[in-house]
Amino acid sequence: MFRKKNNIIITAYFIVAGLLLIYLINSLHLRSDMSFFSPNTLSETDTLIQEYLLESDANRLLFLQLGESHPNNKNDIKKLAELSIQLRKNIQMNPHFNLVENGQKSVNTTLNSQLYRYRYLLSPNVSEQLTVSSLKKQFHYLLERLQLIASPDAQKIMAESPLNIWFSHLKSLHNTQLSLKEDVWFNQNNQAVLLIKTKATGFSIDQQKKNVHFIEAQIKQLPLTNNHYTLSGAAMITLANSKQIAFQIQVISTVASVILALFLWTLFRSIKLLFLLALPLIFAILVGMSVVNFFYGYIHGISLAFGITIIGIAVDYPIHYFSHLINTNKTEDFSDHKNVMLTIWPKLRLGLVTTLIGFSAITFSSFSGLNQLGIFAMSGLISAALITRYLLPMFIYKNHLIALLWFKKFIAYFILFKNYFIYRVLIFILILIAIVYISTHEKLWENDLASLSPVSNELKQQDFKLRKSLNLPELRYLLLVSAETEQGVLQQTEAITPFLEQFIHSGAISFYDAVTRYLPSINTQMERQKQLLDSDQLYHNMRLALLESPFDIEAFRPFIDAVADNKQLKPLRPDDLEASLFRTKIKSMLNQKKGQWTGLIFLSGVEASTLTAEFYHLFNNSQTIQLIDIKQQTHHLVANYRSESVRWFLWGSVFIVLFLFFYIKKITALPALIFPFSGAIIFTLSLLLLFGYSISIFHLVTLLLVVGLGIDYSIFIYKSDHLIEDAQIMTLFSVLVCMLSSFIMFFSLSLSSIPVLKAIGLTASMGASFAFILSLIFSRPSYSVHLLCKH
Amino acid sequence: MIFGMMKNKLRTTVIMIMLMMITLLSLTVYADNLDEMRTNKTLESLLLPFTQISSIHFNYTEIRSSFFFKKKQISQGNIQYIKPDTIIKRIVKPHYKKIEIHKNKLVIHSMEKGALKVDINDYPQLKHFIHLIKSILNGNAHYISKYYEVSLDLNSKSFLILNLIPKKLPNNNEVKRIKSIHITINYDQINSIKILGFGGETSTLMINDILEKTL
Repeated sequence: MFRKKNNIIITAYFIVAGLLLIYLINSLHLRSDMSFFSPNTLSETDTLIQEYLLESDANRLLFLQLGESHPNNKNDIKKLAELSIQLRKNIQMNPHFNLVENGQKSVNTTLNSQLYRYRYLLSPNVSEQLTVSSLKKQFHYLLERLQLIASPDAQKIMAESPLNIWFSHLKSLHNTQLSLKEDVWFNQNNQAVLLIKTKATGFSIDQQKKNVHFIEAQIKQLPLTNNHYTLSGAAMITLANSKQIAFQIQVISTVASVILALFLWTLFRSIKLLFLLALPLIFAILVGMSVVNFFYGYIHGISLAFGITIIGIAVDYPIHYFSHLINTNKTEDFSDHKNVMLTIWPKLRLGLVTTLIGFSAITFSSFSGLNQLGIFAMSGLISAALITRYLLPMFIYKNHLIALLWFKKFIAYFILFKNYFIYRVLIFILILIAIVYISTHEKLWENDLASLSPVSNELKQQDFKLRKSLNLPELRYLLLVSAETEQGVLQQTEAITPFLEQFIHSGAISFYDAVTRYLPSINTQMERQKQLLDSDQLYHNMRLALLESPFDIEAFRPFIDAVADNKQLKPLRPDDLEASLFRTKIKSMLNQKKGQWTGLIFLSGVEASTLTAEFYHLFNNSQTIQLIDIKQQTHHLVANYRSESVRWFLWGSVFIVLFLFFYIKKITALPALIFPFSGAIIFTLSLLLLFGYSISIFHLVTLLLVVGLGIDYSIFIYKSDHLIEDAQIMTLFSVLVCMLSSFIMFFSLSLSSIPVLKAIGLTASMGASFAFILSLIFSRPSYSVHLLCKH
Repeated sequence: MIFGMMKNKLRTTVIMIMLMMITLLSLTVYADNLDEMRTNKTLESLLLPFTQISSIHFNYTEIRSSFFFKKKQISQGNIQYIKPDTIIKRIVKPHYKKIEIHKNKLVIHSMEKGALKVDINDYPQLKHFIHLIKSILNGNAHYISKYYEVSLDLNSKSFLILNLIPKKLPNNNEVKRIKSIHITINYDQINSIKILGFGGETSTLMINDILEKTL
């Protein structure tokens, strides 16, 4: 009957877990962007930068280079050009790609576009080219071009736009350092270059994976010699990052799990136990994810990763329980299981509550990433503790703790801690030295997240070089121009254009992309309209220019009509643009928030020191134009996040001390509970600095785990002094097993070559070791002396 | 037994029909290939006399008609071709200009602008045309038949006319620009090259006399 009731309750728990899993599968929304590091209230500039990082074209671009890359290659230009044209056609058919450019001109698109009609208002310096001398010169060039027979499309354009104004203007918009051979782009190594823009942003890892697979599949279908090609871009860097991290996590977690499983099996001699040990952690993760997703509607990927790390404490709860079952489960009597749980539950509960108090502090932070982390950890740990308390005792388990016999033999080693006072004084001095070392260290904090990226510098350099050759915007620098109206922004941008040209001349930048390149302000368009000649005047000038030329002026009647048409057109505004990629581009460069308009000017080929010096020399006191270094802004964001984290961690520690003081009610007992986790943190930090690492947010968050482990170990060891001898040994044994389990998992992680994983692994493995040793040293003297006398 | 025999007969008949169809199909494909092979062979034998020439220098008259011009444009000058990769065109009338092409480099000398150097890869139409002429003068039938449909005619003076129509290939932009090219050949001499475009565009190059020919 009792067993039947247990089975029903167990089934109910699993049904709840199943429901949570279904909820997550249907509703989980993972975000992987910089907003993790952003406070809940951002300044307008920071919001704009975040939106730019998320939505900008810059992170949707992929660059494909066909052919061998070394300078002395024997690339067949004609063949590569054919492949480039074929590939462009194939990729364009996929709706997940917005744009595929390889240098080929699309004449029909140009002729049909709304912009072509407005060409004499959108192109600069048109009126200067309508003088007799200029017309004469331009028609002379046309005569040269007409030595070769023209296609019907080319004839149409020549008749409508004989001065080639529009194509010259288009060329200046897409000014590249690449050369055009066989109608397509080639770089200086004679590789054909394609520029591909995806619909998905660079952070949409799943879609970008599919995009890359599609492109690679298309390339494999081509007869490309030895399959020589290079694919690069922001998405490739993100994918390389995630691929490396995922691969290493997979390998390391598999190896570590196997070692841990073998270790636990050696101790407990039960496969069933391995499953039972994992149960609380699995439930903790499911509950944590569900709670965060329910309240926020999404969960940061980083919150999830950090959260899973710090609820690793949840593995200790079942280890404590199963370790203590040794003397009591000779029969299949559930009441014995319940009694063991009732014995250890007060310690588990105290450890849980203390840890929750510490974590609760970060939920008050103004950073959504920290809030989520706090909520994830708290809800996860509560559910893990409850599963351990109420579910695990319902499983029959016979403890074959053979290893305990060996442990008893080795207990003599603890004689090292015989004279606690000396060791305590030594530790205290070491803590003081460590605090001084930490506070005076030159490079304490690591704010540059890029240095933690596992992606090779070669890949990043390749991306930078390609962007520069295509004069594409960099991901780091941009200018912001502000005004009260949209036209105000366009006018301001036009006003600073001469200075931007100056930046190009001085080498501060190689190119800039401003909205007014594509769409001038209304004032400028109206000014150009005024300067356009009327039909009679233009006809007169053309007649004079073509006097000695073989051209028939009537063949160019469409040109005269087009100029006349432009003279009476209503100037074009961004909202008047037809739905097209062009309109999307313009709209992405203009932003309106709270009545203020901002224009973005993208910069390419930036020489940082020259640009900064020249910019501040010219615009130091300007209220309307800002130079944004996104890397600096990100550092600033990360530094703010880190400062906020440290502040709330310290508050959390204060809450823990206060709670323990009021709970224990004995000030002399506090060191045994506080020094283990605080000493572990200080020693871990100082060792990391000694090994040459600077402290990043990844180290800081992992220290939360160390706090939890330290509290857990110190409470169990501290509160066992009144127990009988076997129970004392059992407690010490269970804490040692917890420590070794954590050490195995995190030490394996520290062997990774990926800086983030290494940071988490090193911090947790060192922290757990220090927490255990300090718990032993700072526990009450009678405990170990008594044991030592016995053994 | 009769039924069995009939079944056998039916099977045999079907097999025979299939064999005949396969044979006919193969013959058609063979005929097509044969046709192409014959054209290639004919083209090769047509171009063979040109392969003997190592350099040639001749006077020409070029007539260009276009919708854009009031009247036909006539220019005169001389062209020198030195195998395998050098072409020098001197325009004497209406204005002096010298165009030198050596491999992929093009240099234009004019009175007004001096020497202007460009890469011929940047002018794909010109490059394609020069390849065509060089293919004829080098007897490269493969290049011609790769990009053009080839046919042969005889004119009133019994000179052979090589008719070329650009093939619709993915990278053959000549299809959009040129309707057909007609080259009049008299053994080892090109008499004229006439290019017909769309919308009334034509260009005719007539070789007036040979100044020098080296074998």
